[in-house]
Amino acid sequence: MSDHELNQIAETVDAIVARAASAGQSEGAVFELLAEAGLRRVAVPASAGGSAGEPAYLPVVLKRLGYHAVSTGLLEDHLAAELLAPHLADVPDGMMTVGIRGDLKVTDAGGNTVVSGSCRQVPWGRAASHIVAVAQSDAGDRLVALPVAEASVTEGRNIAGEPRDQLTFGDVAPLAVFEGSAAVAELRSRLLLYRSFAMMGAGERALDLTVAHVTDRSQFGSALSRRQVVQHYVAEMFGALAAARAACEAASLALAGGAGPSALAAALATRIEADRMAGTVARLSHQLHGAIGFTQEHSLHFSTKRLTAWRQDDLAEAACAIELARLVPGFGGPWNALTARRTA
Amino acid sequence: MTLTLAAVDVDAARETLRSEVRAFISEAIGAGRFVPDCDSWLTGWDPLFSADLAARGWIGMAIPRAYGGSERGSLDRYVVIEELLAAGAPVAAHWMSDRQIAPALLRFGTEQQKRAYLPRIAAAKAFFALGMSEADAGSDLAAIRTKATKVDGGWRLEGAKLWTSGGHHAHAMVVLARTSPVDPQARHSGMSQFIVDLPTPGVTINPILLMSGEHHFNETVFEDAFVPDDALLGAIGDGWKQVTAELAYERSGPERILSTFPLLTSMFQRLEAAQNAPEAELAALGTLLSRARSLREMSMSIAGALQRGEAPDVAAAVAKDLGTRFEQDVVDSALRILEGVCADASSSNELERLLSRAALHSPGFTLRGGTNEILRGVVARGMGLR
Repeated sequence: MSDHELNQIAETVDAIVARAASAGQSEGAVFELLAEAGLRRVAVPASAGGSAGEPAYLPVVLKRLGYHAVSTGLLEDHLAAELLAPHLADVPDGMMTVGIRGDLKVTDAGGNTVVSGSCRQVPWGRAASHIVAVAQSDAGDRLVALPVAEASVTEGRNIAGEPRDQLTFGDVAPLAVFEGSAAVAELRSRLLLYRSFAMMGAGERALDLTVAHVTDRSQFGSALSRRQVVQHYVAEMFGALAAARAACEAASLALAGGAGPSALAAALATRIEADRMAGTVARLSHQLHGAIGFTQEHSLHFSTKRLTAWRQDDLAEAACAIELARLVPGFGGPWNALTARRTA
Repeated sequence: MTLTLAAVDVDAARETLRSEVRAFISEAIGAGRFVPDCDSWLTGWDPLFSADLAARGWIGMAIPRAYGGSERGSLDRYVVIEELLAAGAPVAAHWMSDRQIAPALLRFGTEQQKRAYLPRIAAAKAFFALGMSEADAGSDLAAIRTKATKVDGGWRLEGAKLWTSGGHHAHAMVVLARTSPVDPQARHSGMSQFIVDLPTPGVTINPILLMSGEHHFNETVFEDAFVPDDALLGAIGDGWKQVTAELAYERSGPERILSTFPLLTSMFQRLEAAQNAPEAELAALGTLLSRARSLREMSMSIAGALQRGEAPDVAAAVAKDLGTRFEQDVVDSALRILEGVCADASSSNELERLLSRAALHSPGFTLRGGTNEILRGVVARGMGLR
C-alpha cells in the first residue's frame, strides 16, 4: 500500500462526488457510482461482494465523503458486510446497516431462534435490506443479522437530514446469530472508529472553509486573518483536528491487531476525541464566518450540521468516557492502559 | 494544510526496555528512593537518582558511544523518559543536559567541547542550566540585552538572565548573549551561545522563589564575567538559529503531557477504591485519559519524524499547546470533582500532596518553553495566516 494508492482513491471519490453534483444527481446515485468504482465495500472480501482492498482504503473513502458532506450509508453497509463475511456464505447484496441502540432480544421459541424488539436511530434503516445489530440474550449481548423487510419502520431524521429510523421486529427469524460476545465488541469498536473518520472529513472541510473565509474577508481595513485572536481560533481548530487524527491513526493500528480490550479502549478514546473536535470545530468555524456562515446559502452548514449530528450517533461522548474509565482497572491503571500493546 | 504524521509504535521492539525501567522504578519506590511527585522534571533534583539512571545507560541515550553515551537512539530514550515522568521520578538534575544540551553539543560543539562535556552528561556528572530569558525578554527572546564583548583570549559577559531553573545546582550554563548590536532589519541576528562553567568569577546566582515558596528559579547576574574563546558554542551570530534548531525536541516531548500524570493515576486509584463511583467522575477521568492517549500518539509520531530527520515544527507547537493545557485540565478536573480532598503539601494522603504540587505548578505549564499564545502563532504561520 502506498500513499499514491490512497491518493488515487481520494481522487476517485472526489471525482464521483463532483460528477454527481454537476449532473444534479442524488446521494443515492453517488452510492451507485461508488459501487461501480469498487469503493462501496472496498475492504471487504470478494465473497461478500467486496473489492478485497487494503483496510487503509476505507478511512480514505469515509473521510472524503465526510469532507464533501455526502450522505450515503456506505459506512454502515461496509461495516455490516465486513462483520458478516467470515460467518455467512451468502452475504446480502442489498445495502445493509447496523444498530447498537435499542432493546432487541434473542429468544428460543420452541427450538426456533427469534428476535424481537426495536432498534433505534438506525442510519438508512428504511433503505436497508438487512441490519446487523446488538441484541440481548440469556448468555449476554449477541450480534444478530435481521431482514429489514420483516420490520415495521418509523422514519426519523437527524439535523443534517440523514435518515435515522426505528426498526421494530416481532419474533423475526434472524439471518444469523453470532456466537460469543467478541463480535459485539468488534461492531461497537469499528462503528465508533469509522464514524470518527467521517467526522474528520467534515471537520477538515469546515477548517478549509474557515481559512479561506478569514483570508478573503476584510474588516476594519484588513483581512480577518491578520488578527491574532482569529489566528488563535484557527490554531485551536487545527489542534483539535490534529489530536483526533492522531487518535484515529492509533486506533486503526489497534483494530488491525484484532478485537479486544485494547482495540475497544482505542476506539472509545478516538470517538471522544472526534466528538470534542466536532464541538470545537463547529463552534469556532461559525464564530469566524460571522452571519453568512449561519445561512442556507453558505455551504458551511453542510459540514457543521453533520459534525453536530454525528456526535449523537452510536454512543454519546460521555458514555464513551464512562466506558473507557471502567476499562482502566482491567489494564492495571491509566498508564498501563495508555501503553498497552496495540496488538494482542 | 493538513498535518499528517505516520503513527509510530514506540512500543514495538521496546517491551523489554520498558519492563526494565518499570522494574527499576518500582524497586526505587519500594526502597524509598523517591516519592512520586508532579512536575518532577522541574522539582525532583536528585543527583544520586540521576547517577543510578546513568549507570544503567539511561542518560545520554542519544549520545554516541564515542562520547560516553549508550547510542540507543531517541525512541529508546522516549520510552525511558516517559516511564520516569509517568511515575513522577526525580529527573530534574539531568533533564536539561540530556534533553537539550547534549543534542546542541553534538550538533554545534567543537570536538574539544564534545569530549569535555558529553561523557560527563552521560555519567550524570555535569548538570546544565539554560540562560535565555531576561527581564525585558520573555516571549520576545530577540530583545535580550546580555552582551558578550570580545577581549584578548575570550569574551566578557555583562547582563542578567531570569528563570534559570536549577542554576544554583548546575555545573554549567549555556547562555545566549548579544555579540553585536541589534539590527532592526534582522533582530534575530547578532546573538551567540556560550558555555559558562559554574562557578565563574563575576557570575552571581540569586534565588527567585516560586509562588509555592520553592526554590527552582534563579536570576543569574553576569558582571564582567570572563569566558575563554573555547566557551563559544557554535558560530558567532548563529545563536538564534542554534536555539530554535532544537525547539521541536523541546516542545513535543512527553514532559509536555505528563507533568500531572501522577495526579491522574492517583485519581483513578481513588475511583477504583470507591463504591458506586459517580458517572460524572468516570466521564471526566475517561475524557482525560482519551486526551492523554491522542497527545501521546502525537508526541510519539513527532519523535518518529525527528528520528527520520524531518523538522515537524508546527506539529511540535500543536503538541505543546494541547499537551500543556491537558496538564492543567487534570488539575482543574481534580479541583472540580474531588469532594473532601484538600490540596496540602504536608498531607500523608497522596492525592492531597500531589494536588498541592500540581495546583501550585500549573500556571507554569503553559508558559515555559514558549507560551501557548506564541505556539498558536507558530501554527497560524504554518497555515499561511501570517
